[in-house]
Amino acid sequence: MKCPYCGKELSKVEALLASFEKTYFCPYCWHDITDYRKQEQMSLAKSKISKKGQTDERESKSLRNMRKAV
Amino acid sequence: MKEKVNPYEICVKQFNKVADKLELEPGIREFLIKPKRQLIVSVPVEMDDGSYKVFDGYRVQHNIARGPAKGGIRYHQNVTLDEVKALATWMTWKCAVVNVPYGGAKGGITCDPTKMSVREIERLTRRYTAEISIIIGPEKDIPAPDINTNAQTMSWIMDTYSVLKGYSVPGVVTGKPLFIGGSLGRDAATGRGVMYVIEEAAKHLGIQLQDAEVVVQGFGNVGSNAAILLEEKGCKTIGICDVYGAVYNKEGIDIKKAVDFVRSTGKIVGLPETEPINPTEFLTLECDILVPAALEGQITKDNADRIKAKIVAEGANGPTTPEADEILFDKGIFVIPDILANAGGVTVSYFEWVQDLMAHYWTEEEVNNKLEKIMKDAFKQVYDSATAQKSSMRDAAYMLAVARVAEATRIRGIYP
Repeated sequence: MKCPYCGKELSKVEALLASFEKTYFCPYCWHDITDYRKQEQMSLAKSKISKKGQTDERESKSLRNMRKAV
Repeated sequence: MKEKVNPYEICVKQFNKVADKLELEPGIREFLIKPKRQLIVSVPVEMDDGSYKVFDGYRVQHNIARGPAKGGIRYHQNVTLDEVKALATWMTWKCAVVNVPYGGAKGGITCDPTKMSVREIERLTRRYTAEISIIIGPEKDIPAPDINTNAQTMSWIMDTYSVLKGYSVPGVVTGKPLFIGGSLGRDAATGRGVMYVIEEAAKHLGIQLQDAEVVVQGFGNVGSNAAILLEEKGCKTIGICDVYGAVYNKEGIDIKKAVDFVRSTGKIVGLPETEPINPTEFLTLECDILVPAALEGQITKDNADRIKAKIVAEGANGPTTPEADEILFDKGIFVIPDILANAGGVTVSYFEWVQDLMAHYWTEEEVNNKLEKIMKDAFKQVYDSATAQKSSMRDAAYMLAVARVAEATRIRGIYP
């Protein structure tokens, strides 16, 4: 994942925080990239819908396990 | 034979797994796992018979990158430096996962308080406080109750520290009585937090809480409060276990009667309308929700494959060994990890500290509402992360927590 403002590649730690913190600022240029993330997630969700068959096949062990638990 | 468990080894194993996933550099990895400070103190105490005894005391501050260190103090004959180090490390991750601005710490004294008088315990506490006073304080490290310590113990710590300072310092400890700066809602906070995350997990897994069967291991503060609050949500507790034995009633145990019974007799065995069962088989009872709220290392590779619960909410610290954790994951059991499930206590401790610093106190409703928001937000972040990372809830919680601490450390940089 890259910062949309400064283009710097975020480390795995930064990318994780950028994905799940309520608000996240790029640690290199200090721009608020929260809205950008929301847009990314929306476009990701749309692409998942269009490739539903493929994503089902790749369904994670954890999701299967969560379902098994019910 | 029961697996021998060193909590610090579990703690390092868990951290390394997460550090690998986060691709942490070796330097940061070492910085994050090593405790910042480890203080070992000798605590001499004059016993009631006039003799002297010297106890070993510990205070470990694991990490303070995100704020002052925070963690309980336990009195137990099995307290070791390794145990305290592990518990301090878990506190760092716990505070980070619910995003309260604290680092992690823990303390303890190797002693058997059941064989000591109240006055001896008071002298032990006051001397221990004096010994660790060089590293604690409202802006440095804020102790709290843990095993065999309570609001009275915290009052003695607060008083001793205040005497040493020359003025009252309520913010030096949390879990105090209301009269001296405690918070409403603190007593039931950990159990309440357990209930909130179970509620969220059940919602996500499509389990109805009405008539859901609950088994609670450990009927102290956490287990009993979780059971009371789950009963209010419609759950029925079918099994309760404490250090003396276990009881069972398929139709559901009246929790208020159980609490009264334990208060008057000191144990759960003998509770009317229940049958005693073998404590070694207790964790493997058929149920929807299992709440291990006793000591660490209870779910091991020896019993994990026989656990039948759909949700395991870890009210205790470290009740599941890493090997057992993998077995539960493979069985499809939804585990709410300790650093998330029992974080209600530290969250309301944080509220107490904030109120002490402001000298302005909230109603119980305000405290509970703020706790609910923090616990449910944290659950959602961990659940979303687990789903996105295709990992267990424990790995997701650790990844989020370690990432927050790693990022705080990186941004602050290393002096000089």
